[in-house]
Amino acid sequence: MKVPLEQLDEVRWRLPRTGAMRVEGRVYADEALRAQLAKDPCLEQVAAVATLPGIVGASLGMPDLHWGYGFPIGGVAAFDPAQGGIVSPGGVGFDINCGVRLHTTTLEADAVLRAQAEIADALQRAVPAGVGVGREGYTPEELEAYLTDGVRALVDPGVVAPEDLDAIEDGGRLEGAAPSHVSDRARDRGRQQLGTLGSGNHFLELGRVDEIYDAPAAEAFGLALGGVTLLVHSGSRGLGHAVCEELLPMMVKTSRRHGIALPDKQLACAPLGSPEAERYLGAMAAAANYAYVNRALMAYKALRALGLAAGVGRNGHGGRLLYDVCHNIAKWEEHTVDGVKKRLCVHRKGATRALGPGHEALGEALRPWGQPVLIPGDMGRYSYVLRGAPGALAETFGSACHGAGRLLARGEARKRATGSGVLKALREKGIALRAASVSAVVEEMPEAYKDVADVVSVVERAGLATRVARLTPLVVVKG
Amino acid sequence: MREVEPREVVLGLGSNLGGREALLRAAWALLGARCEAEDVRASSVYQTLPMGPPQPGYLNAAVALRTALPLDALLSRCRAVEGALGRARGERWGPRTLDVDVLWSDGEVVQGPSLTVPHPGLRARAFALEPLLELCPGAVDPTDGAPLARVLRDTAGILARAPWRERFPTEELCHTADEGFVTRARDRADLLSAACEALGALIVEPDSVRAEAVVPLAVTVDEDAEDDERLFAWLAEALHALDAGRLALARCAVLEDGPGAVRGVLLGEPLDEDRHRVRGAVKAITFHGLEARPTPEGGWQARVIVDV
Repeated sequence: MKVPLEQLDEVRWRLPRTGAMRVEGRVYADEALRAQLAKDPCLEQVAAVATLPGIVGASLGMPDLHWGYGFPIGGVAAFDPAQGGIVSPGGVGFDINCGVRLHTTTLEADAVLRAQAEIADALQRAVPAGVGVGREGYTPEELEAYLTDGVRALVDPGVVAPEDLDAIEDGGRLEGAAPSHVSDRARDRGRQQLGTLGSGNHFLELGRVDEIYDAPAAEAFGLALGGVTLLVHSGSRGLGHAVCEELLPMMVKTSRRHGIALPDKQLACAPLGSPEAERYLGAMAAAANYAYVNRALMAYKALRALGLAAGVGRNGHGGRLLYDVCHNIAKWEEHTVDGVKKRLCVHRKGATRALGPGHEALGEALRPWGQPVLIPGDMGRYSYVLRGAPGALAETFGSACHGAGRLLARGEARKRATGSGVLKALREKGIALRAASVSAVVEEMPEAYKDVADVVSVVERAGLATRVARLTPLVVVKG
Repeated sequence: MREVEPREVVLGLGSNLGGREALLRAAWALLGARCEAEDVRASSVYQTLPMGPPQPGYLNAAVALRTALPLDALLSRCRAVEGALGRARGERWGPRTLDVDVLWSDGEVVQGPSLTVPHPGLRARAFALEPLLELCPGAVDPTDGAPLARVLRDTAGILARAPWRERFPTEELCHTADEGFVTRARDRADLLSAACEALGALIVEPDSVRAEAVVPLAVTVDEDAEDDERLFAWLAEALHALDAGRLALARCAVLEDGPGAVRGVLLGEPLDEDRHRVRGAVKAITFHGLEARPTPEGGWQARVIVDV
């Protein structure tokens, strides 16, 4: 299917309504990114999402848009319960609340470079990665607390400081969690895998602040040139995957019963307010809480290992949480559509919330600056810290991109490179890589991704978020 | 146990229920792991049209292995493999999905109450002789020295044959962010087995895995579920067993593909990152572009994209 795309301005494109589309599509891209969009079916997916009941505004594609299943990755859509709106697990993805967490530290990059190999080994030992690993054996009671209360359950044991809660989306606890809808089998996977990275594109990364674009905001965020940061990218592991997978067949049946035509069964959905929608949203929120805990536990372990290996002691790293954002989620938010304030179910699949300065959902420390928007790039180039801008609330339900976006299929990457070749190229750039498998190294090579600088540039020009600082990798641990 | 010099023994396999090809291949893998054997070889798969009342056709194959096990001990291992692949845990004996017979042992004659070797029916059964001779072309009947190749020429009945290695042609799909595969099989039960094996192969290369553990798997399916929904349910169950059970998969065999349930076994061993060639984790099965359907050629095809 050929999807017509009309250029609105330098960074905005329109997919006019055709066929069963209820709203138009809007995609953020410059000429170069747009040329890549035509290579996979992501635009058809933007159009397919626009056919779902109760969608309002537009079916949105962020500049890192690429082919997903059901919703495209980089897709944002909001649904109005008053207009028959739906919730769709395919609009969240299997890795519920996959996201990123960034800590600043008081270490200097030189201190890390002096013990680079030891630090890389220590991080790899501290945080298990790869296929299904992790044997800490959290108790059923601990798991229940994490599903219900998210990161708040880590305050008492001293893993998370109370003031850090303000630096986590939803305060580290998504409202409406219903752990009773999380099955025993999902819990089995969850207890084993808590505090582990997983595989695929997940990673831990020590970076160096190498460029500052917005000095006052950078100072407020604790980002200083030459400073060392820790970035954690992971999600809800097997627990979230099982929640989504188990509820999908129910959603397929529910869609059929409500006569909702699905261009792709992965778009299966249920009307908001129906028992099926409630069940999914409750289980999804519990899985999201688990993911917040997962990232917090990994950061805790990684920072202590970093301190020890860098010779400053396990509490000498000065780690401070800048922010923790999720990029696979559906949640209730208030937005103004055509001048009317509405409570909508906003789906972000491979997209980050980006609230501008003054937003009431932000804590006092961040409110003057806007929400930190963390955009990791590939493991060989750089990642960005941005802050939300007013444009996001005005046109993307407060959303921005979430990463670079893949360019090459994994199989294609395997054909083009070898593990040792990728390792050598990274070593020449001064980056120490540790990975659970050779395939992880090759499939995640920098060339498999778009240049995140191009993606971030579109976000900034569109007024969704603005750049604060750039981080370049020193140590990368891959699953 | 009595000591015997290692020698070549040929076992005959037959199946006419469930995912027949996958069952034969699973039996081959299990026999290799359980019979203290080296140099385990499998023949092509031979199809035999059923005689008598209407029933599914039989698929037959032979496995040749070198082992020092006495034949009575070997027979009891074969019975154990039949048991592992022939019934679900906790149920009474189900339908016979798999038969394993000791057909022939090089230079050895046994006549006892529970075991006769060469198999008493061997010389009259082309479906046993042909796969045996594919593996051991020069085999002779030790009772009278008659070359079995000549016996076969005298035996009526030419069998349709489908070489073992041609089955389950699986190709990987190109998907930007995720992985997928297309696989084909003879019938729906075999398609479920084949898709499960293709799924396992995305996580761990199956050539590096021994078929030592047998994990029963069962999933209920709505009677009105479409074929792709049945495939989804089966693969999701299998993925759960692999991920939560830390199992590396060698083979899968579907024993029953009934209206309300699918039942089968996974063969493999506990995941060992040092010994197994791990490719990566699979997070979940997706409905995106999922297909399970009959093909115009009379077989079945599945297309699956997984989240990695």
